[in-house]
Amino acid sequence: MGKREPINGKDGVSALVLLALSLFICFGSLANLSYGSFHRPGPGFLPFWTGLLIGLMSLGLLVKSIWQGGGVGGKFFQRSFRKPLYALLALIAYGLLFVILGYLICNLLFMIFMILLMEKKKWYVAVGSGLITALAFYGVFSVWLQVPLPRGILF
Amino acid sequence: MGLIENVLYGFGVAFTPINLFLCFMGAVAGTLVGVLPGLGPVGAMSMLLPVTFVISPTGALIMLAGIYYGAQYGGSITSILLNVPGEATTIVTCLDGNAMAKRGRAGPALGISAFGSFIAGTLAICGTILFAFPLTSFALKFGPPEYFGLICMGLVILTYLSRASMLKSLLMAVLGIFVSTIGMDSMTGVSRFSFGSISLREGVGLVPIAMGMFGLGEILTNLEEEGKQEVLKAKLTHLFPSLQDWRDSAWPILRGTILGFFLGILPGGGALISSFAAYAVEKRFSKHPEKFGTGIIEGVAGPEAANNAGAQASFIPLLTLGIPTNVVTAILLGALMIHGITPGPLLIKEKPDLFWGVVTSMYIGNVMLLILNLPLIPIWVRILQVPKFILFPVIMLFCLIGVYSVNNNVFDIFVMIFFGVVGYFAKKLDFEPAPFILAVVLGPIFEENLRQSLIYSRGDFSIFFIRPISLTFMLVAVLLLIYPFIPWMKKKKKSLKI
Repeated sequence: MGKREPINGKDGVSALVLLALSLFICFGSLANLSYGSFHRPGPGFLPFWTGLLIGLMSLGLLVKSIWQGGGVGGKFFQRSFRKPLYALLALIAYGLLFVILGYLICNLLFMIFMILLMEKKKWYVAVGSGLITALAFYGVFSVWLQVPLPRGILF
Repeated sequence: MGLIENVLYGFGVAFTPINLFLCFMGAVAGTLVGVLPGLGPVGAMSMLLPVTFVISPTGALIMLAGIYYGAQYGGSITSILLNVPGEATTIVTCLDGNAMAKRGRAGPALGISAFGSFIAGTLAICGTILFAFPLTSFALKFGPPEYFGLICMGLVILTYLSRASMLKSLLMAVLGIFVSTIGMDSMTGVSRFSFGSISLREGVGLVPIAMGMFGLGEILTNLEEEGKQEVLKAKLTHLFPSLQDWRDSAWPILRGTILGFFLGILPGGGALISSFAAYAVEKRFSKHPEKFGTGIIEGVAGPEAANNAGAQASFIPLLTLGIPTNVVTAILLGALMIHGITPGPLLIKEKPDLFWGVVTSMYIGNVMLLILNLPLIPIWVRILQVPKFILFPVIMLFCLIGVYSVNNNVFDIFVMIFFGVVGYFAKKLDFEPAPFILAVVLGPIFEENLRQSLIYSRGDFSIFFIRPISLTFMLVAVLLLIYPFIPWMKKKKKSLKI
């Protein structure tokens, strides 16, 4: 028989993160907001109580994770973890460059990056798909729906 | 106006060309997202929210509602043909639907799922029309304590019925209420947890949160999985079920409809719970329960009818009480609020075009889905073959552009990315996002009614327990909270699960 893992890792880590968050919420609401009273609850009333509840429940989760044990229950990240990570970086870059470069160039670059990242396709497939997508978005959002989107350095 | 006049008036609204077009678009988009695994109706509805800004509130709701019930139809196609539930609501359809397909009976399985959904949809709409008025008069008796009790009950029911642990779901709900308090306090004007950011002073928007958790979060999770899609090469002939199939399915459809309808009205209910409950009920009613899971038509007909009836019935509390009972109707409430409409008991009187137009459009949408879907099944299957390396980035771009266009604010893009990461980890750590989103939407109403009740009662919490309606709601909530601690009741809950 294998050795019993002393703590359920997933739940244990979640509980600790949430516990820290609850402390932050409770202190934040007491320090910066008026709690008021039960007669006249102030703006800090509900945040404080939600913080306290989160803290109590995460303590419960922590106790449960120790009680149950079980380790992390298999690999937390799959082998292809780099894909969501790169996608996340691409999304952040998109947000940072959106206003400067404009949505058309951002869409094109985003598509090319994602296609090259996800599937080792030839560069012209990526550029072609990127161009078609960027134009389709232009047609739908700018021409049809007339959504005011930043055009950046292009216009 | 009498009931008939109201319904006719509703059809008049729904049959205008623009509303007909929006109903069609919603139903088709819904089927599409239902077919595509990884993107559910919530993600699709949030993605299309910006599109609804340029149309009337009635048109917006007609289209968004179409996405919801269209997804129920679409989800069953992949469940039956691929054993991949396009939607969580069609998970149980996989059990017998796919088994039927493997035995060469994909056609009747798809057929009964479409006809069953249509019949259930029709009956549920009749129910909606009949129930709306009594519920509206009932809702007029509601004061802050009743609303507070109803919200508590809704959140607790949703967490109780969620597939993750109840403790984790409750944590998500409380976190959602906290997130809803970020920004300016509506009663005092004080800024809370905004860290000096002007954008955060406005609060955290529903659209970036929903798109992040249900759109980006799903895509990020899917990017990690390297599964290859297997398409069943079953011949799709004889879509019309045989007479025997109809005989076997008639009662399951009726039972599924009734069950789905009432579970749909309940806070925390909707299509998902209805389909699971209907499968359990059919198994119990069946003379040969051991055959369930081997490909019998009752296992498809009951849950399919239930999920459609549940989807439609969940509009009743939204439109009559102004309270969304599940995450989909929470998004709809968000959409209405963007249009400056707060649904509630007076909505039927003040906006009859919206209420009756939306309700009757659902019927039209169901007819469209029945006519369109069966012949279009081969096309839906082909759409599944769109390579992921095109599909996923396009969905992400839709989210990015969509979320920006709500307020023309880049900050919302980062909020969405943040909640995308939260959604990704929530899934990995077995936390359900649905109670979180529902709590974010209900949070402001929850807080307002809690504070008003306490001010009114001078800080006496017994106000929630001395008024009969709020007492009932609170009792249900408390009972469900202590349920998991009672061993024999826990056993009973487990036996209901499949």
